[in-house]
Amino acid sequence: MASLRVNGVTKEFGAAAAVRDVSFVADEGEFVSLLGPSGCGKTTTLRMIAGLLFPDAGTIHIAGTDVTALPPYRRSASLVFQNYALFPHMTVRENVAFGLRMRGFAGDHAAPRIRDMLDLVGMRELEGRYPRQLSGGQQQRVALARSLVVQPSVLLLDEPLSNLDAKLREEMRVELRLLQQRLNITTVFVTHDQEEALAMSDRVIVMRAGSVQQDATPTELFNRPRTDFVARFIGSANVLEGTWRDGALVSPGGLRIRTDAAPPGSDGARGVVAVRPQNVKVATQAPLSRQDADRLNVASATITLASYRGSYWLCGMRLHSGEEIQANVTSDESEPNLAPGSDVTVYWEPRHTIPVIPDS
Amino acid sequence: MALAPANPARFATLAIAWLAYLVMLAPIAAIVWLSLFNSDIIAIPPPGYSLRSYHSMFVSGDFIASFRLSLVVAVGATVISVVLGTLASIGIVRGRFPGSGVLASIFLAPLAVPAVVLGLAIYIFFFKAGAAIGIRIAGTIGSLLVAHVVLTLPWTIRFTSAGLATVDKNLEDAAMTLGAPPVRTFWHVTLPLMRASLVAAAIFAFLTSYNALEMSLFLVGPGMTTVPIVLLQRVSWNFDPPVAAMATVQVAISAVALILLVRLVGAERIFGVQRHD
Repeated sequence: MASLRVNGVTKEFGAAAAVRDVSFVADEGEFVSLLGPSGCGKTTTLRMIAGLLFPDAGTIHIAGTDVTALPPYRRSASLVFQNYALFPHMTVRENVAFGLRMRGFAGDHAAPRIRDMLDLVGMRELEGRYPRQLSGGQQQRVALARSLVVQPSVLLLDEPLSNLDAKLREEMRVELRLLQQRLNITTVFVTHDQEEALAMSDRVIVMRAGSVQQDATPTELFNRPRTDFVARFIGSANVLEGTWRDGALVSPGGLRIRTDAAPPGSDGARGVVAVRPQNVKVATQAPLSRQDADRLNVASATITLASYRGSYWLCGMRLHSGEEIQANVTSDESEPNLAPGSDVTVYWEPRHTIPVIPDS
Repeated sequence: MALAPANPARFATLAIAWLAYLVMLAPIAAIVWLSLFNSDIIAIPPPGYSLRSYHSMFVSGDFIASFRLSLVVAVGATVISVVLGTLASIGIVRGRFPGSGVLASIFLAPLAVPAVVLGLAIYIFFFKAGAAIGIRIAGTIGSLLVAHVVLTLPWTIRFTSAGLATVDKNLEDAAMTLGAPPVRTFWHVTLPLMRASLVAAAIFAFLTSYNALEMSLFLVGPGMTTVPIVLLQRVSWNFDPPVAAMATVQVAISAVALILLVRLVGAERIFGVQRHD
């Protein structure tokens, strides 16, 4: 059964539509991310699920109940805020107890649940502290405990990791995901960080300008982006434009780009394809065999930029047909010969050419 | 810190500051001094010092009565205007409706009207209204209380609005998603976080009401006067050590309230000054 069903939800602020006809479903125990740049409507969507905003159109069901018109305190959805929004005048324990108190559980009934939850997030020892005496990571844990202790049908997370430093953020990603899986709680996670969304989610919903661009698993999203925007946003793909001719895309500079996928457009139609930088290979010396040259997408290029990224070199090149393309060149111990200005041959397999829907 | 002779600007600043303190505080010191004279008239040098003026003040019925009235009206006006001010600030700060800005200005409008004018206007209104419905309103304790609420409300609205504006709206949203309806959210989250501004509003309202003179002039009835009016009447007739004693008590009460205000709320929050540590 779906824990959360968002159906055709629209929200307008003034004349502008912040969210336009958004629909998705989260099954029980599923971790769903709403991913997109700032202003794409992901937080507005989340606040509508929480009941802090009411949609102009569409419906929201939580655990099978239509909650579209219900105020937040009558829904079973708790929200963890970006700034945690811990009550500064209450101790850790009082913060966690708050939701139970408001629901009429106090004293002996509430105590074991509060204790278990504080144990679960590892904050039992600090239960007497006030939020201002806690680090960002600790505040984060308290905020989670406060939301989880009321056993909501849906846990809503609004960029909860964005205020943490990089190292802690990585740790909390894992911790949050493990906690979510242990409790098997349906979760909607809002983020603008594609890496975070891919790493944590069962499913990712990419949003842009108030609409859903793609709703897919992380691998599907990465390997088969549906649109130009998704391809660029997830893993910064190379996006090449051209015209479809004989099953291949011909760029304005005359480059023929082959694909294994069925071309979405008929001959003469404008088209866009995406190629992941990690699938683009760079040959510095030996020319390709004749066989390979016939099978692969091959182009000569000049290196414009080589930037070291630890596990690989990010290599920017200008094709002689005019297009810019990036490749991730994995580096073993030896430094590859990627001096800017040198001429190379780039190639990639046709199966790595992904036709996508162009931006209108 | 020693004054460096190389810094005349700093020296001048300090000198002016001390001069200002002197000008402000010397009259108060003089009143306290006069109140301790062991005499019925003011004669310098005094024949001696005693607390007899304070004694005569406390046995005089009109002072005790006026003191009680001032206190009752000030406490009543404080409670009413803090409650109303808090409710008004919810509308002003959290509400988003057309005209909320205009409404906020209207709430502060009484500050722009001289208290004498306000007092006269309220007196005329109560007199006419009372005549129309056949009940005497002007000159009752109720009318005085209402007038003092009008006088103190702009201040409490200022303090409570400033206090509410510092409460993160997300905290209220968080409370609601955790199952707290609006009233309980306000009671358990918003109000405790506004506490400092509520204390400031209450003390300020109390001081404003307790020391109000001009407005009350029109509104007090026979046998029903507040301390500032008794003081005025006594001074216009005869200035003697018992009057100085009454004035000293008045100053002391205000001073205690102000010290409480600064200790509980902090001077920087009252005056809106940023302290640079």
